[in-house]
Amino acid sequence: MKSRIICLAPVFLALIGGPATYFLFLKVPWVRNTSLPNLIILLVAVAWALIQFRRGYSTWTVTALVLTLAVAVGFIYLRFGWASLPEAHIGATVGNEAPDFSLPDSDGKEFVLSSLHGKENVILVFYRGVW
Amino acid sequence: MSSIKELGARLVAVSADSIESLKVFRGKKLTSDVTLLSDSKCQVISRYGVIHPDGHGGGDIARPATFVIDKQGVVRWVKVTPNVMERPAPEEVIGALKGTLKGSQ
Repeated sequence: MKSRIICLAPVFLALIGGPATYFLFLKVPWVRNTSLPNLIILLVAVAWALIQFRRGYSTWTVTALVLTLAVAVGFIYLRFGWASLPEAHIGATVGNEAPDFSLPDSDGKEFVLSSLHGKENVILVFYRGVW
Repeated sequence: MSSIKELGARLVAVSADSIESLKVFRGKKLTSDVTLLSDSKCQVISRYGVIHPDGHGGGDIARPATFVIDKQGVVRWVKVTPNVMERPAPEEVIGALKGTLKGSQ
C-alpha cells in the first residue's frame, strides 16, 4: 500500500509545483509573468512519472502518469491558452496626447485627467477589477 | 509606492468596477496614494483600446495595461500584456517613469 501511494508522488509534485505555487507566488512579478519555476517543476514531475511508468507497468504507475500529464497540460492550457488575449488596438500611443477623461473615484468625486497637466506625471493603470 | 510619489507622479488605476466595489477594495489594502477610478460603462477603457470584451464571461472589463503620461499630458510609455496573468513589473514602470523625467528636463 505504501509503495502505491509513493507512486502518486509525481502527481502531488505537479499539483504543488504547478497551480499551487503559481498562485502562491502571484505577487512575485517574474513568477507571475514567466511561470518559469512552475514549468520546470511540471517538467520534472512528468519525467518522474514517465520513468516510474517505464520501470514498472501497473495500474498505479499508469494512473500517476495520466494524472501528472493532466495537471501539466491543464496548467499550461489555463496559463497560456485560456488567459491569452486578442491583439489590442491601443487608443493612446507614445508621443501623442493621452485622451482626456473624467471618471468618479472611490469617494464618488470626479477625477479629470487634464487637471494634473503641468503638475504631476501619471501612471495610468488599467486592471481587471476585483472578483 | 513612495518612489512613485518622489518622482512627482501619481498612480491612477481604472477598472470597470462600481464605486461601491472600489470602496471595499480601498478599505482592504490600499494606501491613499492610489486614485481608484470607476469606469463601469467601459468608456475610457474602450477609448484607450484596452477592453477585454465579455472578459471570460464576466461582462466587459479592462485588460491589464499601463500608460506613463508626462506633465504635458503626452503618453511616454505603454505596456499592454498579451495575457491576463501578465502585468508589467513595478521596476519596469518605475524605469519608464524615470526615463520620462529625464526626457522632459
